[in-house]
Amino acid sequence: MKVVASYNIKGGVGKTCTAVNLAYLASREGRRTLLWDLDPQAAATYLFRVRPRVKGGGGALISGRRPVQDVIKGTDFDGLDLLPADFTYRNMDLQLDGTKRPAQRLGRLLGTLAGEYDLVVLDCPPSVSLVSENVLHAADLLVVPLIPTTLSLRTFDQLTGFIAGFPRRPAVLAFFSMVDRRKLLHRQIVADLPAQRPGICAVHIPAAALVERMAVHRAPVPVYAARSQLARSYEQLWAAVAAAVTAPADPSGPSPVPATGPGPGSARR
Amino acid sequence: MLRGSGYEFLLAGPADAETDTAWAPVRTEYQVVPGPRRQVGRVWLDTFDGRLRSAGLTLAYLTGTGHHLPGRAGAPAGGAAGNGRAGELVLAGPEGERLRQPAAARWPSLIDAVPAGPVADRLRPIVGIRALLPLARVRSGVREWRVLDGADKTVVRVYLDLAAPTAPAGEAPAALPARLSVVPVRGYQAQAARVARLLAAGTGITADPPTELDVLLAARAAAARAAAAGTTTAVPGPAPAPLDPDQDATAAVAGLLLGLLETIEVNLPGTIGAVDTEFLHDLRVAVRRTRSALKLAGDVLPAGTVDRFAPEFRWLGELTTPMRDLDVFLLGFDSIAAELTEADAADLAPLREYLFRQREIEQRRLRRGLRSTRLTGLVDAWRAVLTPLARPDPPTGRATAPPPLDAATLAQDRIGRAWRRVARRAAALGPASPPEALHDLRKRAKELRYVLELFAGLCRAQRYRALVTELKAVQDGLGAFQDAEVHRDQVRAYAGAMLADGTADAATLLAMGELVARFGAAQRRAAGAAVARVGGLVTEANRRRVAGLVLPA
Repeated sequence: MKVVASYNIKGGVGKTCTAVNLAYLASREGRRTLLWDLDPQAAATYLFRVRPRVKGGGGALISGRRPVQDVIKGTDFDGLDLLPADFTYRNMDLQLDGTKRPAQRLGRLLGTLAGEYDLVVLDCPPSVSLVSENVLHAADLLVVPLIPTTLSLRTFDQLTGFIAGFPRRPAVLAFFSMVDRRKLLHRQIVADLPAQRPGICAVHIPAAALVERMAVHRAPVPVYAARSQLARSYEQLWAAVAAAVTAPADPSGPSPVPATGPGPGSARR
Repeated sequence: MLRGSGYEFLLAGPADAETDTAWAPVRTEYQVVPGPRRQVGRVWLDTFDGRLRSAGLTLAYLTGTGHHLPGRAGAPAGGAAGNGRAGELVLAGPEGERLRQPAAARWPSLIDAVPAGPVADRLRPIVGIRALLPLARVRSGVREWRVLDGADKTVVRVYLDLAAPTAPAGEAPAALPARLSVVPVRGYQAQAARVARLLAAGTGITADPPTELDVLLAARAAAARAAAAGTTTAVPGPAPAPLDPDQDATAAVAGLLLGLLETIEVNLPGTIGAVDTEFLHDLRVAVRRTRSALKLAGDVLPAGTVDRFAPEFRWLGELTTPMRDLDVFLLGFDSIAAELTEADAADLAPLREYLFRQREIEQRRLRRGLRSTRLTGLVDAWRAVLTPLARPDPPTGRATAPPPLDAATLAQDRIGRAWRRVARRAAALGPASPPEALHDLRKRAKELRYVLELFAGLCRAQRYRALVTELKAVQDGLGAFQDAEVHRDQVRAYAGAMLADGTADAATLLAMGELVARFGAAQRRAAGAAVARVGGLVTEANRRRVAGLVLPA
């Protein structure tokens, strides 16, 4: 099971849209996928038409009083489940702080799902907090949406600097989000930076009215606008993410007949 | 009646679920959205001896897209682990266990030919060296409905599965009822229960039906019974009737031999097709048991029977020996190679290739023998002799005289004889005994085991178990002794042949030399251990067990 987190210190950069569309595309490809909406605003939960409520609240989940498996909801899409947000997640920092090794608590909770899912996508709230520190510890890959502005790049530097000190550092895959090609600065940054900065991929997501319609359709972009440039961009992004999280295949092949059997001394003639 | 988190219902007719009438109660509370219609297929798999079924597992290989695999009522369904895709293996077990993995495979197939994955990992210790065989192939038209709640969220999926088996040649297809599955989306079990109750209120719907595989297997068993009643073809039918202590000894022995003949016949196709190595093994065991029964109890059959058939079954046994020896060697090859200390296991690669080539040659020879008129003639003649003996004419109404020899008396006598043969040889055995003495004891111990197993139904269970447990321990020791000798002689013979045809280089021959030395040492160790174990078998306690083993008539 791989854990991918859609994360940025800044808010309003397209984290939820990224998480929702990546999770959907992963499940469409056949991966058993769970999206955990960690943001108390519950936007991803809303998009999948699920009630933003966890019995016992975030405290019950964090403490282990309620198993994670018990609160998972199926979405309308085969192979894609959702761990919904709850407004009590706003207190998750405090709840985490009361546990042993608080920075690794979410990772331990996710570990209980290892046999059930191939991929977990975390939709993270903005800011640097104990919750985000948990996310950074639990994730195999950080997917970081960046608006192509100077300030946005500055926060990206803060993020990479922060995780540089981690003993187990997640891989980082940043991409440009909400790209407005009418703006010269956007065009310049998108054109130049992927070649200059490691960790920033060439895929970018345009600023498009279609993105905002996710909340109207309450569905991922490829569901209601399958042939759009936007859907293609998300598919390209998913391809980059899949390549980053997919381990090499096992090279060993099947053995000839017969290949297994009893050990010495137990031959039956 | 409605259990767990998944619900399945049988419909009286497929049209019922297509009509507004069937859905009307659900539509009062939910929005119902018809989904796509699909054509799917599935192949139900198990080993020949039903290892998955015994373990409470079902295994299906999916050949169409967008499956909902009909399961068992109460099984969890839906969610990320829900539906299957074409080319996937889906394993379902008790307690809602469900595993999936891709497996582009042809069936029958050994587990080592199935790609690595969670299903293969779960199956490997259960199926071992047995092949996964197609039990039944089904084509199905699936119709799907989504049931939405007030927020237009899909909370339940309903599948109508109209399946028809693709029957093997010569076998009539079983009729499969239309199956309606009400499957909760994960986290919406309460809504699924409600939808199921609303649907169940409709007429002609039956809750908690048997699984599709149960229906198919029951139909197949019924067809097999019907065929067996009217013909003499080989059909795996019901288990033979238990032995009756009062039964005439001749009828009892003939019945046992008929059962062994059936085992031989049911294992013939799998042996000829080289499906897995266990078909040949089981066939050989049945042949050996037949030979032992002829030797130890053949005198109750009509005069001349043993003289006529014993050589034929010896021929059949000998026909199969070279192939089985190669199978045994190859099955243990990796373990044997791993024991090398001086040579590298890779040095034995040419030997392995040589063995596979020899196996192909032997397989062709074996196939010819098993398809020969000599074997079909033997089978037909043997059945013709045994059938009237096993099913004597029913009594005419007058009181019938007791049989001259009843089954219980025969069993006690022959078990006693076999025991005394073992005991005599065991008593004479010592550290200085020649290898021939151990071989002789091994053969007599095997005869004792076979005669015990033949008459197991007439024995006191506790004594029988205790005796067989101790006998088996001795046999294991003697078997290790023999295996080491056979392997040593095999490797010597292979070395000669490979040297002659230029397929072995110096490294390979040196590695084979080390093997010969190791087998020789192993045989000497096994001899010592076997002699020590024999003492534990021939005891006064076991003698008493044998004396009172069979329940009196």
